[in-house]
Amino acid sequence: MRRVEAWLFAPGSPRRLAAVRIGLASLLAIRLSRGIYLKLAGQPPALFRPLSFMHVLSSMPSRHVVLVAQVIGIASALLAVIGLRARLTLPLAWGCAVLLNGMATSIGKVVHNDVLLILCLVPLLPARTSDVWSMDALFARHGQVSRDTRQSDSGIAYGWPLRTALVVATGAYFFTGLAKLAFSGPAWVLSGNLRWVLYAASDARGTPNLLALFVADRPWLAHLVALSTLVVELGFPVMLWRARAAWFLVPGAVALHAAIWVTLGLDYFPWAATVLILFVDWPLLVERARVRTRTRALREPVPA
Amino acid sequence: MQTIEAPPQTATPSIERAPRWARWFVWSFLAAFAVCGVVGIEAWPLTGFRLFSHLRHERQTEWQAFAVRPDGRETRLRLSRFPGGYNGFPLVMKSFSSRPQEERVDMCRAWTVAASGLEGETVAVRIYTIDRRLEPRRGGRPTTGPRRTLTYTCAKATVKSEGAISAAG
Repeated sequence: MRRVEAWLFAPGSPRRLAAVRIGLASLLAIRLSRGIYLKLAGQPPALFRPLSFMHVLSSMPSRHVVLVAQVIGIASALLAVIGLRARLTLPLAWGCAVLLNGMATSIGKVVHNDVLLILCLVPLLPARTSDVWSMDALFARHGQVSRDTRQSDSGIAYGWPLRTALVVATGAYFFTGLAKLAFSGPAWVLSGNLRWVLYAASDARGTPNLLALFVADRPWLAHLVALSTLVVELGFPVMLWRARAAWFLVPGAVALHAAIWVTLGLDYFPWAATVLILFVDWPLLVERARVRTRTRALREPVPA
Repeated sequence: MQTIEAPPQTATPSIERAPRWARWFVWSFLAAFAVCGVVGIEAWPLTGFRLFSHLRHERQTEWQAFAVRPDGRETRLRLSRFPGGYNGFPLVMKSFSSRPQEERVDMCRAWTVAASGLEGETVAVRIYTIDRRLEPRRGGRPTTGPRRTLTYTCAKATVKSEGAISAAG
């Protein structure tokens, strides 16, 4: 337990955390700008099926409430992207997202499309995510707040928010795989389960889905895809102690969500994007790109 | 693709420990997340992550609603395309039979009013159970058509359970 705590609360990079803030807040702004929330507003109360905290409401919020929540949510998320008062704007955007997605999950089914993004944002809410690459940092540099004061506990404050988000992301995939095993057992892979899922999705469309049919018509391929899905989901936590596993698992997760979108028409883009934002070291990539550009410039022959 | 920096080999000096509130916050959140994930509690956004976790079978059942016009004609109600949160129709139908009669009447009234308002006068809404066999197949489609069974009729502020009237669709 001490080793886990030492890992979880080890120092981290303020730039990496800022990159995650920029990525996740941008994703949140994109998701909040969808029209589905306004479509749900004004639903007859008889059809309202609240889940969790939505039980405090007797029906879906009105169009006015939804519109206000959407405008505040998007504006706050964009302010968090540029790092303006991120400790206030990010929680505000998150609160709006929880309300709006709470509506989406109150129609009779638990909706998971945005749940990974929302959960991975939780550790960032109270964290110092805007000490670099932000308007807050820009203002701080111009006087009022001394830079030395802000960086007095640099390192420690930037590690745990990202690592907690990584634990949540890996846990989400692991629990998704675990639920499959718990409710269906090995039959999730060994039976025709995935074939029936794909056939049903294809039959529900006006024109057959050729990729879904390609997999479903070949039982061996359907078993292989099902097995690969479970391997990716259950294997996700391995990345926490074997960083190299990310080279297989991150593309695996992105491919999984892309395949789900193409064959079943289900939009799990936020899961794929969240994984890419969290598990790729963006500041390192930017730095490498800069070095490569500089090296190339130095190699260029000097005109005589 | 680097993911996580390795923890330092030496113990973190006590002066650099994360504040107590951060530890409490992180451990409480992770504990709630793990309990919901393992036990399957739906305290959304904390969730049990049951995504496609139940087995699907070759025979599948779904629900369809049809509006009955004053002249007796039936037209398919594409409730998922209606504005105002009607897209949960196939989801709420799964638990429709276990709902109190009063609640079912309210739901039926909501569908009938929406059908009248958006697609023309509707005197009743008929709800059918559609049974499909996914195999055998030919040309990308099942060779046997779906079997349609009239299950409920919503009319004049009542819900009538049917059940025995079925036809090949």
